[in-house]
Amino acid sequence: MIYKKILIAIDASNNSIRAIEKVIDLQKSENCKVVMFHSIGHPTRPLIATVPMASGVGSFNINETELLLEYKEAGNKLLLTRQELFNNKELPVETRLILDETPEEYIERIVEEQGFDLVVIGSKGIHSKLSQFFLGSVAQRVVKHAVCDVLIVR
Amino acid sequence: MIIIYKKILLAIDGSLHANNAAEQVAEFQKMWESKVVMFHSVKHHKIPTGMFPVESFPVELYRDMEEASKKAGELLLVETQEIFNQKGLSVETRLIEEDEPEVYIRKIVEKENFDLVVLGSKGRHSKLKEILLGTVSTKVLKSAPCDVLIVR
Repeated sequence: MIYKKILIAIDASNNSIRAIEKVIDLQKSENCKVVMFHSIGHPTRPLIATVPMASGVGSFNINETELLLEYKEAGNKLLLTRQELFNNKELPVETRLILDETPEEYIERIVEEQGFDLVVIGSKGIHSKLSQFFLGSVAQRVVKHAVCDVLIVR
Repeated sequence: MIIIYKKILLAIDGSLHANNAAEQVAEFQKMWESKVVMFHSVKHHKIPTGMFPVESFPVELYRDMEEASKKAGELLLVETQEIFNQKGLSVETRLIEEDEPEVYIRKIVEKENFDLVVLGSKGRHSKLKEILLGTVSTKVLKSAPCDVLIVR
C-alpha cells in the first residue's frame, strides 16, 4: 500500500500535465482517490482589480466582478480539459476550483481536514520567468507546511 | 504493473523523517523493483580549516572529529540498510565526503540517470541554520533535475 488519497494542484503549465500523468500512473497501480484543484486565489488578483480603481484612472475601467467571472471561466475550463486525461483512462477524479485561497493556503488547510496522504505539484508553474519566485515558492511553502508527503514533478 | 520510478536516490541523515523516507522507498522497491542507491553526506561536519591561524590549528583533534563523523555515517548507512534487508530488499550505500547533499544530488542524478530523489522533510539541522541557510529539502527542490519526493 502506498498512497490512498492524493491531492494534485494544477495550473496551465506543462509541468502540471506531467504531474497529472504521474498521478494517473499511481492511480492505475494503486486504486487511490484523487482530488485535483486549481486556485484562482492568486495574491495578485485583488491588486489587478483594485489598482486602476484606486488610482482613479477611468480609462482602465476594470470591473472586479467581470474579472472574477473570467478567472472562474478559465479555471473551470482548465479543470475540465485536464479531467479528460483521467476520463480517457476511465479513472475517477474529483475537481475543485478554489476561489479565495492561494494553492499553498488551500493545501495547508485541506490536507489535514480531509486526510490526504500525498500532495503532487509541478515544480514550475505558468509564471515562467518568475517561476523561481512564484510557483517555485508555492512548492517551497507546501514542502514546509504540508503535513503529508509531497511529490514535486519536473 | 506500471513502473513509475526505475532508479531512486535516497538521501538520509539520521532524522525521523529520513527514516520514514527509507520505509517509503522500500515500499516503492517492493512494488516496482526499482534500483535504490542510499547516501549520507558528512561534508557539513567538516570544519573550514581556513578559519584558524595555521599554527594554532588543532590538526589531531580535527582529524579525530572527521574520523568520528565518517564512522557515525557508515553506521547510519548500515542501520538504515537494515530496513531494506528485513524486507528481503537490497540497496547500494554510499558515504559522501566531498559534497553537500544538494550538490551530490545535482551531480549524480543526471550522470547516473536517477528518476526520483527521496528525502525527509526535516533534517537534523538546528532552527537557526535552517533560517540562515535554508533547508536541504528546499535546495534540492530548486536544483534537482528530476522528480523529488519529500517524506514526512
